Amino acid sequence: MMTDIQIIFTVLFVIAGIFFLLVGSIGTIRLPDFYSRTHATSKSDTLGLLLIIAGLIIYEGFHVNSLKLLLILLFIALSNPIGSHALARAAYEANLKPLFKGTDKEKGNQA
Amino acid sequence: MKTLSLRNFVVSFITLMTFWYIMSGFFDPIHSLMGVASVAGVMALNYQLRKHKYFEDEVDVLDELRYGRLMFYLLWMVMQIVLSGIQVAILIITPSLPVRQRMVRFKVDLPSAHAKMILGNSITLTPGTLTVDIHEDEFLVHSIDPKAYEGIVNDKMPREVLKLFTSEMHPVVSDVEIISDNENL
Repeated sequence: MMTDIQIIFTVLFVIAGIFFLLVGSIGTIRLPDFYSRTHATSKSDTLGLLLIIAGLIIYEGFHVNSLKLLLILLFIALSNPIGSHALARAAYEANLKPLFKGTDKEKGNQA
Repeated sequence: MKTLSLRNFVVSFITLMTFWYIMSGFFDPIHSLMGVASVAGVMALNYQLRKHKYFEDEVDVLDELRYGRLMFYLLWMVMQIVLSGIQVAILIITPSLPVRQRMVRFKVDLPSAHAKMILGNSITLTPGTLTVDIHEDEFLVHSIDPKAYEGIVNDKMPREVLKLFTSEMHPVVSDVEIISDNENL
């Protein structure tokens, strides 16, 4: 059955997406400093979101709604890197240094 | 000020009209007419914006892109995103959290500002690397793990971006400097 295959793929994609969203949230808590947290929140989350939307597109099949979802996917893929770049650049311009291994916490975050 | 060609108008009209059809989902004449009216409104509003010249070497990116390459590039990009996404996920889940942050500074040799924009966005979109600053030809990239910036330093991703614009290959990345302490940043 066609629909069975569709549903199986939908479930696979959505579960993978949820997994990456979860990893993004865990990373936000666990990672040590601003820059690495930006990685977790913006990248893993983007990947998770893209996978979930891809799963929904498969679920919808060939339909106007799946084209709308494709547009959402496109806009997320375009705007997310710009957003995280703007954040990181603002932090860099404000002299926030990354926490390299070996530098202690107070020193590492000062100008 | 730059002059806009007729082709330019046709392309943006078709794009906006497609957007209208996808968003509305109606294909009957009345809705199409409303679509044409609103597309005309949008184009009239955007006319001054599109006519303005923002920087010196501004070119129409639609003329320069190689579309056959673009499809390949998008697929390759999706694969890269998934692969390095898994790498970062493994890194985050590992109990000892082996984060080794590095800043990578390098110069690129790309034909236009658009090419640099595509490279910057691709670097940020790939998990594990993050474009912090682009100044002239100099990129500053933050990386969460040495494995993550390998693809940039060994010139793989920048070459793919160059292939989007020209078939003549030359090394893109030069003067790579890997920074691992605050004094050299």
